[in-house]
Amino acid sequence: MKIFAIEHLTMNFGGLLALNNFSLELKEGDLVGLIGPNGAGKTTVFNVVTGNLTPTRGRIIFKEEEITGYKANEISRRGIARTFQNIRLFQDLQVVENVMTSYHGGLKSSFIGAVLGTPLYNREEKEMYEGSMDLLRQVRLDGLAQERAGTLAYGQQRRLEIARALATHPKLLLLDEPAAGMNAQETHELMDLILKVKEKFQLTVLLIEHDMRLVMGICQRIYVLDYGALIAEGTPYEIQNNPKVIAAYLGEEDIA
Amino acid sequence: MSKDDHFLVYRTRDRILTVMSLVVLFVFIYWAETNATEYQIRLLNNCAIFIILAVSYNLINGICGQFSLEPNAFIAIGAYTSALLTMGPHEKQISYIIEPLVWPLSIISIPFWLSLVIAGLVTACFAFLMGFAVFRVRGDYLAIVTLGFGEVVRVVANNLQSVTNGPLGLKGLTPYTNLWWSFGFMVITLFFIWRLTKSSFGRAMKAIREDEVAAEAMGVSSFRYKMMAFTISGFFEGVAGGLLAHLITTISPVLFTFFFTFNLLIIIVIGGLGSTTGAVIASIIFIYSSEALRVVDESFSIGSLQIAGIPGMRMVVFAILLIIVMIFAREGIMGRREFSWNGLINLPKSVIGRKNNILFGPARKREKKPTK
Repeated sequence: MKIFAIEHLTMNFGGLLALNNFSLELKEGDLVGLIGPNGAGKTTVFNVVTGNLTPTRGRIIFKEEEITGYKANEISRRGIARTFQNIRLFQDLQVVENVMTSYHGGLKSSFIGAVLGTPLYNREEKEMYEGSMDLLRQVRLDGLAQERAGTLAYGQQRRLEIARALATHPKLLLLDEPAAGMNAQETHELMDLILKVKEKFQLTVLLIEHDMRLVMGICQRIYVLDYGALIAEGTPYEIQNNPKVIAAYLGEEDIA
Repeated sequence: MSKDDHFLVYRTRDRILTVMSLVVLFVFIYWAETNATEYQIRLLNNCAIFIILAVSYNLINGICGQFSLEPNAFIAIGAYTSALLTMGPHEKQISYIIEPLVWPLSIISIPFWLSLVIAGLVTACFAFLMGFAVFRVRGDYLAIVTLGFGEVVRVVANNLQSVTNGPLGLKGLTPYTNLWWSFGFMVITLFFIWRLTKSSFGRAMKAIREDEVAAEAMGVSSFRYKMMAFTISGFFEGVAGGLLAHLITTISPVLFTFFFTFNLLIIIVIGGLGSTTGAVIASIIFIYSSEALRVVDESFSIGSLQIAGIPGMRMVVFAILLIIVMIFAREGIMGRREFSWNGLINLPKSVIGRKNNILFGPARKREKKPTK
């Protein structure tokens, strides 16, 4: 079943055409990669989808609802979560508080209830805490729950970002270079983690990645962007042998 | 003992300690009412009012991280609202010599406590409406826009003769504000803002401070919680304005210039932006040290040389202090740490043991330690 679609997306920054008539479709349970050379417009796709940018043209459809131009927090509450390429944690909050923040959107109590400590609020707070601890266990950070997020090691911060995104109860998870800066061992663990949470939370995953081992290893399909336009789409095997993709990454072969 | 039991024991103990210290505070007020000199009572009142102001200003500036410069406007609105509501019709008639007061206000006279609540609500409404305009911008622009709003309120107060009595201001207000009122509202403010910042709503505000884009992406509406912080902060600043008006008994637009905001800014920065505890401690220090520094305002002589006193020299001292804090101790007194009973109880241990130099550690972290 189709869950998410980008239709003819175009994004202009002044004179710069960052995305040109880009379309993409995800079925429920897909794990799809989005690759391309630096500056190809991959992160722009994410920023448009999550409401940080309003597209010049085109539509974004999620669960049969057009969400183009919605605010970031509205899109998040509809079930699209993301991580960031340059980690954006709430550095000064505790690890567990970082995750608990994502539950806030679903809170039923008013701020008066929170101040007075009504039974409803206390129960919700407890649920938020326990839910967050559960998620932290999934990404093996429960031992560091009370530490400040800013003090975590790089790989741990990446995992915390995933836990925080999962706490918004997403149906679609967008991962922006989750393996950036990780070594081979950590990347391997991350692949397992992505597959595990995808299964457990029944997610559809779209990920941007430069690490070809990860992309080729776990993605079912891959979209390739170059200069804002789609140049190829297919299975990892097809992509690896696509001359256009090779040209985009390595340059044209000299035929002379 | 399980983790939950431990938590419960600590929470019960903390509650008992909090209630006990409240009792001590009220016994002290009871004692001070009859035994302290008028001057001392005045300072205590000032302390309580400045604590309300600093703590609520810190909510928007420190907790939510929105650098705004509007408290003088909110205090003015609160002060005028409350004063106009408590003055008797006859007093009003005498005061408004240039233009008479507009109709409904000219005959209204209500009890003090009600006027404070209404002052808070009116200010909160202003804050709410103003929020729509000012939160379209952020960062330095927000500071400028809110600063401008502060000036607008002052200028309006100066010119709206038929409501505010213009530059003449309102004189001869009944000095309703006593220790019970000021400390009572201080306790309410502290309770409210303390609980709020410790709750999920406080977390959302802190998340906006830390990273607005990420907070939005996690489903936290930044606009909504900025508005919430701003409006709540407006409410308590309005109440404090009312208390202040009935403490000094004379208000005029001159009182509510940007310098008022500047003083509060000094307080929350020295206390540690984002720390309610810091705001309280710094308020007390500010009130008492500005009394102690009265000497620098007065004229003094070195040998036969007589140097005339310069009123306002105290502010120079505070400005220098602010510069020093900004250069050498940007964290302020508390940083973003908060008071906790555990931190206080372990204070002698950590000072003597010298193994942990944090005076007031984060509460939760320490409470969990025995179970690890």
